Amino acid sequence: MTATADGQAPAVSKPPRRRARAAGRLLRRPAFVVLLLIVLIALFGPFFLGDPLELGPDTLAAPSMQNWFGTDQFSMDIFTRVVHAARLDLLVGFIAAALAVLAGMPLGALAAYRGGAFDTLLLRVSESLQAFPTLLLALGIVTALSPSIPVLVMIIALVNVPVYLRLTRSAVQPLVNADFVLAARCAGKGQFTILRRHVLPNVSEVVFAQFSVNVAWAIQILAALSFVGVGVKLPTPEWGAMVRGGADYMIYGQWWVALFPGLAILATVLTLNQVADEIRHGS
Amino acid sequence: MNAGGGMDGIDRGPGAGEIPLLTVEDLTVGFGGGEDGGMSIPLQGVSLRVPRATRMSLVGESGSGKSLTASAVLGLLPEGARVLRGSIRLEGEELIGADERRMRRLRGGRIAIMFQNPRASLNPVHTVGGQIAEVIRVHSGAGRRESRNRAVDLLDQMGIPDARRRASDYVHQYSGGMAQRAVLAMALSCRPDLLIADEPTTGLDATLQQQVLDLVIEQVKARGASLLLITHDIAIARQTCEQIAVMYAGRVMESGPTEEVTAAAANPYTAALLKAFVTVDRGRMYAIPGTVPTLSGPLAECPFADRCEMVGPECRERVPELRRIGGREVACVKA
Amino acid sequence: MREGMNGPVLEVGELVKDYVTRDAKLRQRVARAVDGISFAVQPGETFAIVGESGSGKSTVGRVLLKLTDATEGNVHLLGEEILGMPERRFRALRRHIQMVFQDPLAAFDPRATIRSSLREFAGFGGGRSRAEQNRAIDQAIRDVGLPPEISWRRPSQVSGGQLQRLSIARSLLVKPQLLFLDEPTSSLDVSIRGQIVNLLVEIQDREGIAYLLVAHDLRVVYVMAHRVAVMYLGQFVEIGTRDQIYERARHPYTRGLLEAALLDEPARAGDPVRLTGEISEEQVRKPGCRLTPRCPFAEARCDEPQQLRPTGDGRLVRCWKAVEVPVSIGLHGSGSSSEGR
Ligand SMILES: Nc1ncnc2c1ncn2[C@@H]1O[C@H](COP(=O)(O)OP(=O)(O)OP(=O)(O)O)[C@@H](O)[C@H]1O
Ligand SMILES: Nc1ncnc2c1ncn2[C@@H]1O[C@H](COP(=O)(O)OP(=O)(O)O)[C@@H](O)[C@H]1O
Ligand code: SF4
Ligand SMILES: [Mg+2]
Ligand SMILES: [Mg+2]
Repeated sequence: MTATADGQAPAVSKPPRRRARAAGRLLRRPAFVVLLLIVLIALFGPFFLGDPLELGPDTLAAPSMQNWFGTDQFSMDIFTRVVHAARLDLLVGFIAAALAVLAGMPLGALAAYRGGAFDTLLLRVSESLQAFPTLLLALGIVTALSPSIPVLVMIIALVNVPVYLRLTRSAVQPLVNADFVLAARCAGKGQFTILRRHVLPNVSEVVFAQFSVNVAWAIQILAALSFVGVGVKLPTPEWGAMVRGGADYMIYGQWWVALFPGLAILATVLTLNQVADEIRHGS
Repeated sequence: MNAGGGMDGIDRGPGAGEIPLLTVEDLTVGFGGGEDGGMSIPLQGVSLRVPRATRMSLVGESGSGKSLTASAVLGLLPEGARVLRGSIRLEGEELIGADERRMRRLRGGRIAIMFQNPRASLNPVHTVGGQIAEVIRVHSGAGRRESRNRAVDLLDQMGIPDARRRASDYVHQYSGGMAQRAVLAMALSCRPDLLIADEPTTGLDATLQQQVLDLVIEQVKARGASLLLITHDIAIARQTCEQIAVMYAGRVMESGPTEEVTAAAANPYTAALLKAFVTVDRGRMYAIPGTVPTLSGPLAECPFADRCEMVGPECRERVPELRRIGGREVACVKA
Repeated sequence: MREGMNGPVLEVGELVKDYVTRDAKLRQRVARAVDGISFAVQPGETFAIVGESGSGKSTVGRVLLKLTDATEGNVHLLGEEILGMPERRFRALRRHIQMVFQDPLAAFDPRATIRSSLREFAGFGGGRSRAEQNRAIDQAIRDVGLPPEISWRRPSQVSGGQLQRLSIARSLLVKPQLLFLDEPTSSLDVSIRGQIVNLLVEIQDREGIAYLLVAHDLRVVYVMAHRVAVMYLGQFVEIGTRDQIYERARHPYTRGLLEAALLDEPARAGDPVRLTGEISEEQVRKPGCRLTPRCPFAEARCDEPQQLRPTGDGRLVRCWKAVEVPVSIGLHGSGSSSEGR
C-alpha cells in the first residue's frame, strides 16, 4: 500500500478526438450556423456601421442604395438600427433565459428528487405564476417598478422560471429511481452530488433545447413590452420599440419602418426554435 | 437468387418425396452498406425444413437470427434488410419476391404469428373479441354475428373463463397470461397450417409459461397444424417440440429430432448450450468462454470456431455446410 | 472492530413494506409488497429468495439498502439497527452492504465512462489518493477477468455480460460484507450466465462475502444458494436448505415453481404439482392462505390464517397440510428425515 504512483501506470488515456468531432457535427446543423451568424452580426456588426442615433438628411426615405432598409420618422438609418438592436435584444434574451435556467433547473431537479411537500409547494407556486397571462404579469410589474433594462431582464427571467422548473422536474422524475442513481447512492454519495453528477447531465439536452426556445420567447416578450410602450423607449434601438414606432406609418405606405425590425425578430425567433429542434433530434 | 427448388438431390431425408410445409434454404439477409458504411449480415445461409403437422423449435441465443428468420418467412423483414440469397417455400410456392398482396393473404391465413409481448400484438382501442371477429370476417368472409360467435368460441377454447363477457373487454383489462391466450386465439382464428411463435412466454413467470405452452401444443395438435417455436431456452424446446433446430451466428448448426439431438449433440455448440442448462453442483455452472461474433461480412469459417473446445485447422478452411447424418443435419466438420 | 465473524451479517425481523400509490382520481391505495418476513444471513453464506415476479423479492433488497423506506420491522446490519437510522449516518455503513442490479445497462450512468462510475465506489468515504483509486479499479476489473482499458468506454460500448462483470467489480470495490444480487443473470444470455454465476461463487469462496440472491432462474439459485426462501405475495411460504427445497420441497407453491422450471437435475420427492391461474394482489387482503385460488389441494381450512411452522427437519412451511397431513398433498413417506449440508 505504499504509493508509488508510477508503478504500472495502467491508465490508458481516452481518445482525445471527441471534441473536434463534436464541433464538426455542430456545423453540419444549418440552424446552428445561422444562429452563429446572427450572434456574430450582433457582436461585430455595430463596429462597421455608424451611430444608430445619427440623423440623416431625409425622414421616412424608402429603401435605397444609401439606406438599405430606408430611414425612419427621425431620419435615422433603419439598417444601422436593426443591427445595433440585435445586441440589446439578444443580450436581454440570453441573460433572461440564463437566469431562468439557473434558478429553475436546480429547483425543478430538487423538487423531483425530494418529492413530498417541497415538491408540491414549488409546483403550486409555479402553477399560479403561470396561470397569469405572461404579458399581463410583466406589464403589472413594470408599471409598478420603473422600466429599466435590468428590471426588464429580471421580469422576463422571473416569468420563465416556472417553465424550467416544471420541465426539469418532469425530466428528472424518471431518473430519481433509475438504477444508476441508486448505484450512486450505494456509493455513499449525497443528494447534491448525485443531482449534479448524474441527474442534471442526463437532462441537459432537454433543458438546452428549452433554453433556445426560451431565448426566442424572451426576445418576443421584450419586443411585446416595448411594443405596448412599457419596455424600451425610442430612440434606443430595440426591435419591438422600432416595430411600434413604425406601425403608425404602415397605413401611409411607409412599410419599411416596421417591417425590417419585425423581420429581424421573426428570423431570430425562428432560428432559435429550429436550433431547439436540432438539439432535440440530433445526437 | 436461385428459386429453382431443391433439385440438388442431397437434402432428401426420411420421408423423401414428401414436400415439407415450410422450406428455408440458404437464406442470407443483410443490413446496411448505406451511409454509415456499416454492413451486417445477421443471417448467413439459414436452412430449415418444417414438415406438416410437426412441432419444431428454433433455439439460439440473443442475436443468433431467430426472429429475423421468422420475419423473413412472414415477409416482414425490417426496413433496410435485404435478402441477399436463398429461398423460402411454403409447400413449393416461393415466398421470396412474392408480391405484398399475396403475402398479406398468407399472413393470418396459412401462416400465423404470435409475438413475445401480447399487449403489443392486440390493439388497445378495440375489444379483444372484436379484433378476433374482424380477422375471422376478413379472412373467411363470414357474417358479423357468425364471426363474433366464432371469436367467443375460440376464447373459450383457449381457457378464458366467462369468454362471452371477457370478449368485450380491452387488452389492458387482461392479465399477462390471459392476453397471451387471446393472442393465440387470434392466431388460430384462420386455421393456419403453420403457427410461428416468437418467444411467446419469455416475459412470463415459469408457472404461466408452462400453462401457455401446454395450451399452444394442445391447440396446434388438435388442429393438425405445424408449430415453429422460437425460444432461447433449450429446456422449453425439449419439453414442447419433436424437432429442434439450433441457431448460432445466423446459421443453423444442427437440426433433427429433439430427443436424439438433446441426448447426444453432434455439434459442439449444441453440446455447449445443453451443458449450460445442466447444473452439476455449487459453483459449477457450464459457461461458454468468449462472446458471439459480430457478423459484419460473409463468414469464412465456422462461426463457433473461436469458442469451440474441439476446434482444428479444418474448421477455419470454410463455413461447414449442414450435412445429413442419420436422422439429423449437422454443420460441423468434426461430426 | 465490530463483532467480527461471529453473529449474522444481516438480521431481518418482521419486515413490512407498504407502497402507497394514488390512482387517477387521487384516491390513496396501499399495496403491501412485503408482509412480515424474518431471516438472517450468515457470513459467507448465500441466502436466496425465489418466487414469481410481483412477490416482493426486489422490494426486500431495496428496503435493506435503504433505497426505499420500510413500513415496520427491524433490520440489523452487523449488529446495528439501520431502519431508524437517518440517511446521513447510514451512508458510512453502506460500504458493508452493496447491490448488483438486474440490468447492467441501467445501472451505469449512460453519459459517464465506466471508469468514472467505478471511481465513485473506489473513492468511498474519501481517504484514498487518486493513484490508489486507480490501482484499486484496475485490480477490481482484472479480478472479474477483464482488461482494465475497457473502463474508458461508455456503458453502451461493451457487451451485457462484460458490463455485468464491471457492475460486480464496482460493488466489490468497497469490500462489502453483504452483496444483494437482484436477478444478476436474467438480462444475460445462457452462454454468459454461467460465467457470471461461477465468478460470483469464486469471489464468495475467496472473500467470504455473504450474498442475498434474488432470482427467477432456479438453476442459478441451485448453483449459488446455501439456503432458500420461497416468497409468495409478500410472505415466505417455505424456508430451508437448498437440498431441502430442491429435493424435498413441501409447500405446494414451491413444488409448483420447481415443476414449472423444467429442471432435469435433482430428483424431487412427491407428486408433481401444477399451479393454475396467476399471481393476484387481491389475495393479500384475505386472511387465509394466499395460494388458495391456484393450489390444487385447497380446501375450506385453507381460508384460515396460515403460520410458518417448523416441520422437524429444520425448515419452515406455511401450509397446514404440508405439516399435518403431507400425504394428502402427494408427499409420500420420507417427511421427517433430517439431513445437513
Ligand atoms: N432492424 C434491424 N437493423 C439492423 N440489424 C438488425 C435489425 N433487426 C435485427 N438485426 C440484427 O440481426 C441479428 C439477429 O436478430 P434477431 O432479432 O433475429 O435475433 P434473435 O435470435 O431473435 O435474438 P433474441 O433472442 O434477442 O430475440 C442481430 O445481430 C440484430 O442486431
Ligand atoms: N415503486 C413502487 N410503487 C408501488 N408499488 C410497487 C413499487 N415497486 C414494487 N411495487 C409492487 O410491489 C410488489 C412487489 O414488487 P417487487 O418487489 O418488484 O417484486 P419482485 O421483485 O418479486 O418481482 C408488486 O406488486 C409491485 O407492483
Ligand atoms: S394451505 Fe391449502 S391452499 Fe395453501 S398451500 Fe396449503 S393446501 Fe394449498
Ligand atoms: Mg428475437
Ligand atoms: Mg424484481
